[in-house]
Amino acid sequence: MIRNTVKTALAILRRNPFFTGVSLFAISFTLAVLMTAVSLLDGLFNPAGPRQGNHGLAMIGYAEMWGEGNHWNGNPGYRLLREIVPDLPGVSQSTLYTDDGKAITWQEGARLERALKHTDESFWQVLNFEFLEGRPYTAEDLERAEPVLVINESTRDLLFPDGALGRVLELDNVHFRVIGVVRDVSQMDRWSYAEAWAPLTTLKDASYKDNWMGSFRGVIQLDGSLPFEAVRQELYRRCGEIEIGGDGSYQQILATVFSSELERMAHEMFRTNEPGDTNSYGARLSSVLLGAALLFMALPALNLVNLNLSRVLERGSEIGVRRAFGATSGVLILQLLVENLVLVVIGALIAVGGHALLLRIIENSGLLAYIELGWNGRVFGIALAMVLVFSVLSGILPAWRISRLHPVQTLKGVR
Amino acid sequence: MLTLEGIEKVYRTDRIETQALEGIDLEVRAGEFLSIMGPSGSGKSTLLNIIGLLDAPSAGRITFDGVDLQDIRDRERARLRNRRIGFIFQSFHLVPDLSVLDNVEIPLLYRKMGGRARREAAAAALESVGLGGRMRHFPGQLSGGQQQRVAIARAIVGEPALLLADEPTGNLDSVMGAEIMEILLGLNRAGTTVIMVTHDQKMTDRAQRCLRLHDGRPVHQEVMA
Repeated sequence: MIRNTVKTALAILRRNPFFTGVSLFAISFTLAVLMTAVSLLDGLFNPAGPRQGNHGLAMIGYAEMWGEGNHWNGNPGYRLLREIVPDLPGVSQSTLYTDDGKAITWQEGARLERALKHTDESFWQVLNFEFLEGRPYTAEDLERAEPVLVINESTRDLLFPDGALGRVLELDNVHFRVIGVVRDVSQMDRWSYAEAWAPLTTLKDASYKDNWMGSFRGVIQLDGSLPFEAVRQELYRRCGEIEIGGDGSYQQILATVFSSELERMAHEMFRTNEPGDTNSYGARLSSVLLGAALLFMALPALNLVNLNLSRVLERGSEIGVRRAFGATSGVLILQLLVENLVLVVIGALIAVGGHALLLRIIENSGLLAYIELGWNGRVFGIALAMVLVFSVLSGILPAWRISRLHPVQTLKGVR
Repeated sequence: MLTLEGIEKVYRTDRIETQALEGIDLEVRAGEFLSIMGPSGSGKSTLLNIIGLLDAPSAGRITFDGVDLQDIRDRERARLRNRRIGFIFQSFHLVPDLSVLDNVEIPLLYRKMGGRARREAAAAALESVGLGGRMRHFPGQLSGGQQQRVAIARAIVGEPALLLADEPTGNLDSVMGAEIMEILLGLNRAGTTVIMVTHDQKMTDRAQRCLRLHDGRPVHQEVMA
């Protein structure tokens, strides 16, 4: 049955090369773009590298402070994180670090920018960087404010092709000694990305220690003994106990913790302007992404519905014969859906090629540093689901319509 | 085997109502060869489609193998067509994109049957109509007579008890028409009940019985010599 159906499907595709070409272009273009979008989102939400396989991480990446007529939101400051993170129940370890900022260096008279993060020593335990050479900095290094530096391999290859360990790199007028080299981290991994990492205590201005708001992030490693929501509530409780002080402009402060990058981005996109909005908008962002994907698929699917409909009606005689010889409506719908699936699968195979090409273009475009996009089980699974959804979307209406016709009508070739 | 009582068929559009069949009472016994004759528009093909469960009557009752077909569901009708009835159409209705063998396999696709057994049965049916050497050909590569023989092979591959032929020689020249008639007579002699719609008196003369229709009504029934 399947063999016969596939054979029929291929024969039908050969019958009208123009229709087939148009259909395949629409399918493959749509799926290639969607697969690439999925790869990008997958790289953003589930990046390879230091966070890979580490499912118990959560980020304190947003804070707001408000009082009578005042509202300040942004990244939490070091002081806030120091108040609320240590000894959190349900957390095995934590790290505090700055967002990556551009630091300037000079090489043979040319100005170079490197993304630099300042971190504590726990950073290297919480996030699993792959060290190619040397070592991470330690608590002692932080204690002594040692100007030591860990760089990524591309920076090493660019600045110290003959060996980086022990060499001095000047960044923003601070002379750092390179003590470690790690594998490049994708710029899409907002939690880990930088090109150089230095001890927090080497920050030139130590006033960060007094700031409730700032440019810090905190990442906590849950130990599984408490549900995430309980840890979140404990953080809120601790925030509620903080006395901000100062000139009294602000009375309340709240840090928000996210269990994933998706949740963090969703909060960034959908949070209200009201102070203290701690809602998780992850489900909403997921729905928006899914809706956008379906909408994007719907247009070519509608086009394919039209093409399929005219193809199927052209085959009225064949459909009539099949009905005359015992095919039920359900069997015919299934046959036409499988035939459409064959078309969509061919389109999907072309799309895989287009997808690979798009990935290379994006990787080589330099828009995002060190991104490595590619296939994995998740992307494949999602792409497969997309192919099936696309196939059903574009095939069900023509199949249903033809199956509703009376055998005599189809034998007469009714349109 | 088959009983029709008070069969009517009315085609209705927004403005026009056309009475295609009226007052058809007919009994067909197993092993019979019945010819249905009449001028164009007399309702012959409509009657054949109703007998073959391809169309539903507007009124009346059909009994097939003792089963009243009035209330059976689409799935049961499909099963009955698949197991008990074979169709031969004037314009062959072969699938042009499929090989001769694949065309003949079609009725067996809707049975629980392995691919190998299906191909063997289709090959045997093609052998029986003298087309064993044309299995890999496509319909477009065959003459009209050969295409009709493929259609007959497709109709008989499931070993139906009732064979319905709608002007099976209508698109063929007299020599090829005679060949097709011989095949139908052979099948009838082997026990298959045949109901054939035709314009051709010579073909009708070789049947056992003839029903003549005019304006959708039976005007004459005769037993041939």
